[in-house]
Amino acid sequence: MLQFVIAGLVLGGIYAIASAGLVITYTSSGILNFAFGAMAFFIARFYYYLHTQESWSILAAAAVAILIAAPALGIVLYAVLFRYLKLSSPLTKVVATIGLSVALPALATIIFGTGAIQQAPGLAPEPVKVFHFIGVPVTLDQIIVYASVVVIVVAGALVLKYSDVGLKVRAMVDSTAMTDLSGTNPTAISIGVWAVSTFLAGLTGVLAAPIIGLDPINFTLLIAASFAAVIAAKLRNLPVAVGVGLLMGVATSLIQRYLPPASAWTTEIIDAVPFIVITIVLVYNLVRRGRVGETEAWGGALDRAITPQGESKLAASTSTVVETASLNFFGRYAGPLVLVALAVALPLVLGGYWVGLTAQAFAFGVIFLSWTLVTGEGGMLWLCQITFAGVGALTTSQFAGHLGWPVLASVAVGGFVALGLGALIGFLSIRLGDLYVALVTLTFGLLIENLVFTLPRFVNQGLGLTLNRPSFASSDISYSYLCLVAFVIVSLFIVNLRRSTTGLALNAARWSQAGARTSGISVVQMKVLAGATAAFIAGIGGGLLAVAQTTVSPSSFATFAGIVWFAALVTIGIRSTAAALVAALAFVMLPAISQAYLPTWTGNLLPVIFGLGAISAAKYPDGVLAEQSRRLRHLLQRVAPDALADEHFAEEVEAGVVDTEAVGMAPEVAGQLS
Amino acid sequence: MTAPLLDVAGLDVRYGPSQALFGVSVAVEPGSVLAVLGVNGAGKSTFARAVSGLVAPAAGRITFDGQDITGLPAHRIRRLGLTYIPEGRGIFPGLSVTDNLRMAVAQEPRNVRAAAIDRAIEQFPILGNRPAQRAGSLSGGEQQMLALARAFAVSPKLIIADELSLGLAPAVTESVFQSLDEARRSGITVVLSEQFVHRALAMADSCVILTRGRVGWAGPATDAGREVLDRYLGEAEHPRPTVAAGAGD
Repeated sequence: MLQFVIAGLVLGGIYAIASAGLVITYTSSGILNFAFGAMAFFIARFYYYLHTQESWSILAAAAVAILIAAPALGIVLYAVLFRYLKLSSPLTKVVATIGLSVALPALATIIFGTGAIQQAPGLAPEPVKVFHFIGVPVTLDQIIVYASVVVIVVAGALVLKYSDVGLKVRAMVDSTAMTDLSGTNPTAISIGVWAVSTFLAGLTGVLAAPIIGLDPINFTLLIAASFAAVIAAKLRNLPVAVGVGLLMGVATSLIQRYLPPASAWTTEIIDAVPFIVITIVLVYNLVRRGRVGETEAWGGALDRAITPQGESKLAASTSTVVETASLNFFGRYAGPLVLVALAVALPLVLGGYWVGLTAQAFAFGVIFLSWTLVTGEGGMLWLCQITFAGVGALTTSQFAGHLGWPVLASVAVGGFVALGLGALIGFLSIRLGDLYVALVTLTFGLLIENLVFTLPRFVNQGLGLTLNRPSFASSDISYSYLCLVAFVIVSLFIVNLRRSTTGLALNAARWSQAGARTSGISVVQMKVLAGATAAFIAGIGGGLLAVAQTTVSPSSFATFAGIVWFAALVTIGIRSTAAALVAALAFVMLPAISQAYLPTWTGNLLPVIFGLGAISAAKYPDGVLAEQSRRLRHLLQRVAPDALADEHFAEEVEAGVVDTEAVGMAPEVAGQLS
Repeated sequence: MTAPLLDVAGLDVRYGPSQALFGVSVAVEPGSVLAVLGVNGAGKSTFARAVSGLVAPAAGRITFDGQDITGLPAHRIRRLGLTYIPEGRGIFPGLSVTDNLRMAVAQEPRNVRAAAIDRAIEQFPILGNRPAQRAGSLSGGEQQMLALARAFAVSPKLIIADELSLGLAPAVTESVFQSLDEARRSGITVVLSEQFVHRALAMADSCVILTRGRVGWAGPATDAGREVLDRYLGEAEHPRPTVAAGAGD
């Protein structure tokens, strides 16, 4: 038993350090850093580069990587990203750090070399010495983990409680504005906190590398597990986060001790530990307090008072309905029509292999539309749309393959299974704040991925399952058009929803739940509706994608791949249906182009671009496409004001029927109208 | 006539798309007390926040003690000797009483900090009784004492007190005003915005009345007679006693 507790404390110690790093940046800046795992990987990879590839001594490599490079990374990221995020909406913050988590590992591969490294040395010299502690073998690597945890906990507590710097950090957590008024520069404190946090990330990375290898996916998994401890700490309580992190490690180890080691159940339960912890904590808090949210978690009344209303660009961004209200038919629909015409032409002008890719791209477009609905319209950050797509794909394969159903009917069934799951998640996350929704959907995706997608019936010994296309659309070109039709139908549905009363209610619930409730809107209904419909769309898209590829391999629906999908979509635009199509084409075509015509290293450049694109959501929350089309529209309005203007609308403005300020129109546009 | 300690000229402040102050100009003589009056939403707090550096002015110029402080961050302005006690308790509710005072003097040289804290506690002995209590759990009056102690501990040149009496019982309000009076006698310049108009005017040398973000009236406090107050403040001139007592600590 003792042996397992000691072993468990290694994993637990790593969880503890990681959750400490997550909690300190959340409490001091309101940012839950989804890129913590990516930062840990980046620094661990740098350490490996210095120590193994460049043969530096352990001490020198560790000092440069953990003590210099890691804090420097934090300071640089603060300067270029985090300081701009402070006043953003929770949604933008999460999206930007997710972008970072996609970009950093790819950047590490470009800089330090390719490939996942299975065996990475830790901080102990090789061969690693083994000690015996009351009969239990303990490696020097493990001892270093224990020592790090003890040093960090003790030093952290002492500094926070007794030193001037610690006092200032605690003061800033309480109120940034009051800290500023007390003569202490809050920016300096923020920079320091980020430097400490990335130092902890670097330490986590170097300590974890010998255990989990240098694989970015394993790192993000490790941090996803630490999120459970952070949720238990309600994002803010440092001692609880550290304690729960340690306990989770020990619990995992004890499960290994008492459950039969050979059983498939054991591994599944171990994988599910973080999800179990999250479920217990959330249910406990929901039962006790009725709601788990982070809205009041940061800053005091004064901080909120001096934050300008509408400072968050995401909040300031107007909906397409408002923006295009003044335009005539041409101004409103020219863009989408040109795009659809191009999409129709694409399979005709491309040949062979590329036509098959367009079919996949259109299917991806359908999956992306599920985010357009749930996040773009509903304002809920669901990170498990890929899981719904996977569920759709697997259901399709079961019904079409095993039961012999027609393939399109099977796709529809897949959509409905996903819809059920979506409704469930929507219902469970009703009373959760934005951040918790993101965390819960992320862990839900991981859970399904580990418990369901790994079942032998789906994996089929790594071969996956094969599917036949419907007989009337068996060629690449005809199936492409089938997917395009599906995309257009779903797009029209979303556009229509946006303009409908339901869409209005959804938008109301998004910006102010209290406001929506007092207007008689059922927030519960809206959230479940949006979530379930989006899951249905993702399920259909997943089925179509599987049929396009003619095989289903569950491993291609890994939750972290979904995060890259999400980053690609956010880069182009999360709120427009046209952006979903462009993003899908870019996401499928660019890697293929890079593979066929460009040097291999450019393949890694794409995640970096998508990651940076998602980061830029901090500045352009509507994405590249919306930003560019807005510029184009403004340019056209300046060059030829009459070409796009709707006469009827202009008359209404002049007559005072429509208040341009009330509909959120930019003054310069309104000025041109009257 | 001496040069003003605080000179605000043509101050515009915007919160995002909405403008809160329009060309506000105010001068405060050293050692004097200025009362900033106005109904709810007139811009009193915005004026204080802009002068103390919490919100950046959109236009205008702010000079303090001969130095242009327009656009400086709040911590720099505080270090020049301008202390702002914001509306609704200028304290860190999550920190202990001692830590609140330590934060107040954190910019002073190390060797004088302890003495400054002792001096502040001497002035407000009640704070000395519960050094480890979380400031947010003090009573409203005690919290305001702590806010004042934090301000006095650094011997500022100018204190801007925003609605110090808000939500306090009448007796506590009285002692808060007494503390401000003491500060004035020791040579500290005071700018105060108040709901108790007559109490504020009794103490003030000069008065500025803000209406809808503009200076509606400015002059010596003694000239702010009945008709001026009626015209600019209306009902707000006489806060209902039930409100003051009912919202007490």
